[in-house]
Amino acid sequence: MARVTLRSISKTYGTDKVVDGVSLEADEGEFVVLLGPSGCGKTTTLRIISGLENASSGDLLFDGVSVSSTPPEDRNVGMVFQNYALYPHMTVSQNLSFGLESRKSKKEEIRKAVHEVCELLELSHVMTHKPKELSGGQRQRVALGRALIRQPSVFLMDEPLSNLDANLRERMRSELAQLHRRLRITTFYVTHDQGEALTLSDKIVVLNDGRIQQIGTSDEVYRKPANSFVAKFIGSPGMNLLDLEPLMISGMLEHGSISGLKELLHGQGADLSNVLLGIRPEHLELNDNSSVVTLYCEIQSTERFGSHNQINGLLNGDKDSVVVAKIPPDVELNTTDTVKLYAPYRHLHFFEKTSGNRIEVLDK
Amino acid sequence: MSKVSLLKRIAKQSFIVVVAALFAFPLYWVVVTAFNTKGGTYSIPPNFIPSFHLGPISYVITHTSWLHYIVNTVFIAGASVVLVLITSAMAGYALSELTFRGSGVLFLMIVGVMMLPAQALLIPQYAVAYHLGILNTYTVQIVPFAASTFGVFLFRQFFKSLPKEYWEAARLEGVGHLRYIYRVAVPLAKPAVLTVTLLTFITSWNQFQWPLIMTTSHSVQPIEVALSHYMQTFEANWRKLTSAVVLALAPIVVLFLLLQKHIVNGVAGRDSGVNR
Amino acid sequence: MSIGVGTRWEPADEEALEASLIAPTARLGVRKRIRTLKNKLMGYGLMFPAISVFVVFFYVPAIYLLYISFFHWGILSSATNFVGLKNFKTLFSQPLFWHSLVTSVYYTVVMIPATVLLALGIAMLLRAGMEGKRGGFFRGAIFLPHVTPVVATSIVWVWIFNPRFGLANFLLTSLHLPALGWLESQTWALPAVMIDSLWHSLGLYVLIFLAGLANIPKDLIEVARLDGAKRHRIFYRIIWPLLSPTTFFVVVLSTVNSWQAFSQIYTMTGGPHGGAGGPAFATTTDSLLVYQTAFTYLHFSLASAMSLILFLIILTLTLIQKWISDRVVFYR
Repeated sequence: MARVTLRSISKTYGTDKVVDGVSLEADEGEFVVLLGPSGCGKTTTLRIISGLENASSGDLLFDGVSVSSTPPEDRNVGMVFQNYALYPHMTVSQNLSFGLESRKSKKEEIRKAVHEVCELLELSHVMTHKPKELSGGQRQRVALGRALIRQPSVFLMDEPLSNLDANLRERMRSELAQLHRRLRITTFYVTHDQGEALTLSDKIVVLNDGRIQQIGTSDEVYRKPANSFVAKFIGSPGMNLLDLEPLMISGMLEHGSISGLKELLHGQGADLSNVLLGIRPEHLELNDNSSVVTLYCEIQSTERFGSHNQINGLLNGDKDSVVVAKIPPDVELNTTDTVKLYAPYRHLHFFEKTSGNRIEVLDK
Repeated sequence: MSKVSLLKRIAKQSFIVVVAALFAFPLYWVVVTAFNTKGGTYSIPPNFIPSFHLGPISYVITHTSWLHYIVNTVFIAGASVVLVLITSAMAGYALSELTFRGSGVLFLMIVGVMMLPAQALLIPQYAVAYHLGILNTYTVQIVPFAASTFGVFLFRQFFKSLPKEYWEAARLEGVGHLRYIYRVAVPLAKPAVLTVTLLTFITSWNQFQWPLIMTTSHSVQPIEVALSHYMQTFEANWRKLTSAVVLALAPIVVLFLLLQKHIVNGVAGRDSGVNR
Repeated sequence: MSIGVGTRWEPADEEALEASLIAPTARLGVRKRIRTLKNKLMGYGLMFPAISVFVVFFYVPAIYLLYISFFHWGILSSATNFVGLKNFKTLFSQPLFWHSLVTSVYYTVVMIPATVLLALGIAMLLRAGMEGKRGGFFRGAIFLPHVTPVVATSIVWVWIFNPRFGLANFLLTSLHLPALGWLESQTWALPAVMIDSLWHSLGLYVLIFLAGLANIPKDLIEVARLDGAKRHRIFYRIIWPLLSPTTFFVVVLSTVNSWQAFSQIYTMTGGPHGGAGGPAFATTTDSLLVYQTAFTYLHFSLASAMSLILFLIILTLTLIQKWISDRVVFYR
């Protein structure tokens, strides 16, 4: 299992900087998730780690040794492609053994390795089947097996669950987690799905526009997003971000709240005209409490999710301040009702409007 | 359907039948002539109904070395097919997957060959063959045809359509190009292999002018050349001559009837004539 | 303002960072060059067999042709004397040479429109009855002649055109038309060959037209029909223009093939049967003459000169056709 270090990796296609100064470190056996929207550079970064693409600048190290000039076949990485890339004309065991045969391992060793992998991934009963005879989950396991059979020191996965339907995805997610616990291979996992990121990762790297937005545990990116992008990206739906100044002026807030906020922020030397207030939909409450900020919300629509209801509304009817709130399922609220939403201080986040950076506010 | 359009339809269908019959007719006529009685053949009006007189054809079978010529032809065609498959798959792969300097030039060279008029080159090709010392051999009938521009393009097209992840996955596993071509690319290109095989075989079988020029001895000549000799041997003995023709045509016709679909698709692509 | 929680790799030492960034990228250069070299070797290696065949048997002869035409050449001896344009002068003074050119032109000029019209007609006819297996059967029947060996089938046609017992004359006489001399007649020998050629080659062109017709979106035709356009109008204004790339392709292909036709002419009128090159040289086309000059009369230098001319003619024709197509053909 290798420790992987990326130092200022950048990749440019023509004039397009797809990956911009990405630096991160993965400890031995760590499960690192590269998370971000489409086009953020996560797949390119993964391919650079694999060696299928070369970085335009920067360095890549395995266990402290640079592998930037090592060809992919010598890096001992295993990769699972989004579309699995299983050879359709070969059986499962042939797909698994193909790479080993090229390395001139002995037949007996190959057979043993194939058997072991099949047992590990519960594929023993389909060893002689061809990919088209397998279910989606089985195919995925074959793809996993093929990557694992050479006992790689780094394991790469490119959105492996995106081709599966929702139920299967849940199951495979937990299977992957189990697999990782068992094998403890340093893993890089690319996805745009936060659920996968939050549950599978030891560490999440949030990317946007080729740049790292934040590196942290699931807890950290959820509770302390480093900038407004992360705040909005994490969570479903993401955090509500409201422009503070108009908020304070326009009467969307209760008067008492305004002074409280001013107090909080003055201490940080923040420019009040350049602040975004953040509060997650699940943290907005219908019941008053002490130390809360109160918002007047005019409901535009409601959605029922079974486990909760979601209301989408505008603050004081202002088209620019959309608010989403999650409320308990048994509360009945209708469109055009105005409701008071309470945001506890401890769940408030502040970000600089221009840079998006987090404003640390002490002692809420 | 109205009466008029029904009539139209019938008319069209009959037309097609007539046209198809016209095309098939000469082949039918050969068979009829070959197996006819002497009287039947040389009568006016000609006898259209086939008899099964085996006299002429058995004469041809026993008194000529037609089998030897067929064997020659099969050998030459077979060898050509094997060579073409190898050279085309390799070149097609190189042009589709690999990027290397000069690949553009090589590609143009292959396109260029298609532009050269074959007839005009026969004399210098004869000279080249002479200087290489391969005149009047099997080699001269095989090697110049060992590469096919059509084959290269077809394989290139096919390999381009394979998802690039196949190669990437193989590469990560340490599989080299040659192994990949042999174990993955070509097995997945079965339609291309079939098409190239069939078309090369047929083209090789039908070669006439080339062996006519390049060979003089009967031992290496294919059936087509033999036939033109038979025209002299069987001067005006039409039943014997047409029997020889039947013997020469039979293998190709049988091949065609069995694999017609693939042959037609190979030439004109999958959508030819399908009335959507 | 703090940046927030989360780890970032911080360079302990600016210089170390610089050093670590430069060195591997430079190394990348060398290793990369080795890899591209390996790629190059693999690429050339894979292409070598095919390319070498083409070079040895096509490009070398092409260059050789250019060279030989200006020499007096006995092929078996390496003794060559440069004779400049003498070969060509000799050639141009032979009436047979000009005659062969005319014959080739006559042959090609008739074959092209005949091919296009017949192939297109049959293709359009076939489109109507093209359902599944039955359609495939008809297509196969029409294409079958194309895969047959030309010599074999030409013999059949010689028999069909036999003046006394052949079907052709039988057909004519039953329609109360005069029997013709066909391959023994000066006027009808070449037409006989043309009929054979058409029969043999139409299958291919029909298939090509079928593919081209299939590429015309059905909606266009249906819209026109709904607008009340008559059949021939639909044809002229929609089908024909959209078909022009295909038609062009057929024209070029049939031109090149017609000009270079050999096997059927040889079998029917040249070589061992009948008079060489037809009665009074009626079927002596350029290709046939080249063959005879070289291999019957062993005049290799003249034959080479003729081949060069043949080469240039076909090349020119192709270029002219391309020029025309750029103006007339409608590419979508």
